Amino acid sequence: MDQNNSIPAFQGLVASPQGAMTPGMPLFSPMMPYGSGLTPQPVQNTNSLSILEEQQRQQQAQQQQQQAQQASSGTSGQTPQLFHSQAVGGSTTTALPGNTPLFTTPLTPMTPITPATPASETSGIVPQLQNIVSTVNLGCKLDLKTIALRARNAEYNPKVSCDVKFPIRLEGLVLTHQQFSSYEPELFPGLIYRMIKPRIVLLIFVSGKVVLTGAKVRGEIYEAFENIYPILKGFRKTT
Amino acid sequence: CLLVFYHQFKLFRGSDRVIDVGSEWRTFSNEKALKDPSRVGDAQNTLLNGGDLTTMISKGTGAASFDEFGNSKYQNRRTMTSSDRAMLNAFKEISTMADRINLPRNIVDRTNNLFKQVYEQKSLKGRANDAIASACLYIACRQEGVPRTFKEICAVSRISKKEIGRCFKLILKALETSVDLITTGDFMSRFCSNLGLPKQVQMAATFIARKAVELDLVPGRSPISVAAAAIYMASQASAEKKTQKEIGDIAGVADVTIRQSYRLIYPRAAELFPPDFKFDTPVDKLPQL
Repeated sequence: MDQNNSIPAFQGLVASPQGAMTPGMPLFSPMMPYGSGLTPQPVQNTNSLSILEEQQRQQQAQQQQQQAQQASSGTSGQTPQLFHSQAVGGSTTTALPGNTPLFTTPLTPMTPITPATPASETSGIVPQLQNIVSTVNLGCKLDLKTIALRARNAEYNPKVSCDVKFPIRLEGLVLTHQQFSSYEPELFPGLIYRMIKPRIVLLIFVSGKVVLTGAKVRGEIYEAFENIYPILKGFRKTT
Repeated sequence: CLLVFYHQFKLFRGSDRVIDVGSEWRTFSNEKALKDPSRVGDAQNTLLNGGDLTTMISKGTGAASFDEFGNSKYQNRRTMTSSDRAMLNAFKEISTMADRINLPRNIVDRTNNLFKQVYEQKSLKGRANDAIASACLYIACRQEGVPRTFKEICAVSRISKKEIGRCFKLILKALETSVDLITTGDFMSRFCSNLGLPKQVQMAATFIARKAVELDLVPGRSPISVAAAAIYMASQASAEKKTQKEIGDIAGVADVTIRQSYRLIYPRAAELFPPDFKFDTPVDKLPQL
């Protein structure tokens, strides 16, 4: 899916060795966009659906407690569909065998990504366990809105990425929309556009990819995109 | 009469200031002693201080100023204008930072003014003063048309690039100003002279970088990286060849970054050079990384 293609770019940014591009904004965590990448597996027993939902909520609450520990940059908007675990700030993430989810089918837990520990040399230092990140494939569609409303520690923050399919002249955009845009190539390669009318933050890149975030409801995202599209068309690169 | 002469002197000077704050004209002290006894206070810095109406008690000189133990009777000067003590400290820090990279007085003054505005606004009160000062220095350099990279400011400040960047954005928002976008040409003169490259090479590098951006060969690359790659290409074509590492050290970019940008401009190298350039190494012999 083309939505997935935008994520590796972000992860590349986060892991950049230059160390220069870590903006202090909470939206740069590798989260999947709403409702993607999940293949609903058939539920064997329809009677146990309510139990399943209950367990899912527990699972999510557990995950979010872990994420709350993990959040160094204050990540808001946690979707349960994490497929990559991210090592935060040098903390060691080790996989404990006891930390698998509470139930088995139809939820298939994925093994967390462990850092490569050189088994050959024993340093004599016992690493302190700072954080545990586990990923889980819940295996069925979740009604995020209901979960967000009902579970504590949950926020609903849809983050959408899309592509306008043409390259954009960011310098022109920042000249005309100075009060909304912030473009500092030294700090971040994308232009940060803070739209006022629906209160959305858009990250606009030279390639034509646009990321929208900060919305409370889905409609705001679409509205913001409709607003920005004609502006971007005006700054299309002609070469 | 002397008084009349004095008045005439004042009229001749022009009436821009009502009170002449210089030294009293009657003292003919050519050998400037350590202290000027006719001055009544420090040189006024009214632009930056709230008001310099304080009393300072200096150390006594006569025998009467010492009490029985040999300590000075009157306490030394108290904290003058304590409300602005933090601001004065910041000015000192700004001056130190600017001195490290030999910034001219106009930039330092602008930085001080920016800091004063931010400080009085109090919207960034929780942030470290040094961070605000560093960010003000960065903005001042930009506003004067001679931007310094964040890394250059980092080199003379104890604050991290991330924090300076954050404060930079906050200050722009607080003061409701904006700055111009950086271009490759802003840095050519400084980088090339730091590397000891002759003017021809510098002009060639400027031309190459500008052309590369015009032809959109390097979309999305930081102007610093493009400038560094252009300098590399120009220096490799001339007699003064510089390595990527040397250029990377000066510009504050990694040599792999220079390599990336160089790879983008290399295919069209022939068009990028200025027409009157004297090649020491022809275009086809340029290094291919």
